[in-house]
Amino acid sequence: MSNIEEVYEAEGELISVKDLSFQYESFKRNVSNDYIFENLNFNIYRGEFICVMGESGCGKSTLLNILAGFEKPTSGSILLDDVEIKGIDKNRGVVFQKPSLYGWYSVKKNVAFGPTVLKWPKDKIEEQVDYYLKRVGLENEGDKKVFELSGGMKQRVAIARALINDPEILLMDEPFGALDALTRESMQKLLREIWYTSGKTIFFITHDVDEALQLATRVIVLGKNPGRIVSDISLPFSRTIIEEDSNKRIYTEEYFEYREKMLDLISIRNNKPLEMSI
Amino acid sequence: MKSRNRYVYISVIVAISIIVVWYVSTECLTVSELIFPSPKSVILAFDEVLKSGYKGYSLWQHVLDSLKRIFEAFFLAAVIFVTLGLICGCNPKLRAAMEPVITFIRPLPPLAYYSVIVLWMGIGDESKVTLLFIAAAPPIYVSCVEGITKINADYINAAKTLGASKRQIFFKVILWAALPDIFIGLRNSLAGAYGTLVAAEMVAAMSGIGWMALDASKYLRSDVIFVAIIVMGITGLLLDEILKTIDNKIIYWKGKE
Ligand SMILES: Nc1ncnc2c1ncn2[C@@H]1O[C@H](COP(=O)(O)OP(=O)(O)OP(=O)(O)O)[C@@H](O)[C@H]1O
Ligand SMILES: [Mg+2]
Repeated sequence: MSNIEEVYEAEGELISVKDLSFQYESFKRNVSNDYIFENLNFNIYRGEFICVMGESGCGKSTLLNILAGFEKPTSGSILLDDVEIKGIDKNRGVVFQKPSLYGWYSVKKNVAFGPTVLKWPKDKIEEQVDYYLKRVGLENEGDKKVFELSGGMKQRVAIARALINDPEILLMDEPFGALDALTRESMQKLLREIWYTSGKTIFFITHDVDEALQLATRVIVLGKNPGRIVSDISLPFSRTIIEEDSNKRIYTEEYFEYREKMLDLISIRNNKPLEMSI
Repeated sequence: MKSRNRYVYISVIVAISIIVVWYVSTECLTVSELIFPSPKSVILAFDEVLKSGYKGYSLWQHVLDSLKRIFEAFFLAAVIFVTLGLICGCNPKLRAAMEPVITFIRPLPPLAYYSVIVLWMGIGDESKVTLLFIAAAPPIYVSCVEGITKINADYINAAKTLGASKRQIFFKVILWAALPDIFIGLRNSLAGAYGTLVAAEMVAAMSGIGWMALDASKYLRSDVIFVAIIVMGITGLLLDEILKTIDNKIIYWKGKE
């Protein structure tokens, strides 16, 4: 397993997951194998772009929901800046797989939702909404209704809505999973730029190996039964793409090596040894 | 929406055919006017009722009296049961408490309890409005509760991660998300109240379009009964259209997500 210290430009831990065990309540009557996670430990460092991969049903969404506060750990704790997380709060922004925008509000009002409920001054709200709409490339769609937007545009609004509150971390559960390949690629580019320029920490679930390779500074591969970290890899490609200012995919030999490794890791079965090193 | 407009001609053809069949069958078959009046006699009766009214009230007065009763009941039911439905929708314990009452009342035929209501409230307008109220209430309550309990959990979670308080979540998210269902409830409620109209005007009424139909049957005036039925049908249709239009205006996002 690659060492945590190796992780790219780790800047001190933001979130630390300590001895996390989790089971869904409805499963409690079952005798065995009902834990989604058992004694999970890992840290998330400031400024990381973490992609989480793993086969379907291994608990990726569950982990995100616990980090967001939608689910409570059965035991163990999660600390954000050394303070234990209790429930949902505005420190952790979430972008859902389905955009879940409010259809009864305009695009602008959706983005303004956080600042409005937090009672920011009106002119500041307006200014920030404009800024974030511009940021996601929707400066001209602010007055549209949500149903007038395409899937990719909706997800952009959802990202702007989550970013405007300036959360410590952005949690994203397969946000581009439902988009077509072209839209997906432009969304990846957008997100990479936002991550790079804002320095936000991003926790991003994906099924797509290429997506992970091109976005992540670190990939966590989860295994099943019980959910555990099978591998923890740091990746260089996301930064390279930005810093070399080439949006061309970098299909180098190195890239394909990583790709092969990751594909192997994801399809790991329960009986394989836990310490798969890469 | 579009396909409905495109095939509207089919609806028109069917409507016209029904009238034609009605006309032809009453012309060709020798059915007694008492049992099945012809379109012509219905039109004549309509003309008569329009000109000289029925039993001391003009046709419009009858319609208006009925509508007044319905709207009184509907308005009361809407105010009380939208509130109650929203509260119970958010609170499983209260919901459980309401459950037996609503599930018991909902399928009861209004005539079953009408005599009791008359016994308690007398034969005035109050008992009629109460009967309509009881018919109007359950659909509103049921839809409000359903609208709230089926809300996409992501909507609420998203609001929480953005810092919304419980109160803000209710007024900015839950209420809006439930609005389409609330409107369905209101439409069903109005239909329910309307369907109970004739029953409500059975006892000791002197006016009302439902009463007119009942009263005419005492004198074997089938033509007047038909007039009343047709007026009732068209009024009901218009009422529903109005609600539907308001619905489409207010809930412009419905079914478009
Ligand atoms: N609300 C729930 N109640 C009970 N069990 C659940 C619930 N949600 C998920 N599970 C179970 O927990 C396990 C992990 O589910 P989870 O949704 O976290 O997987 P995932 O890795 O996100 O899968 P996918 O890649 O398909 O999205 C699965 O076995 C699933 O059946
Ligand atoms: Mg999932």
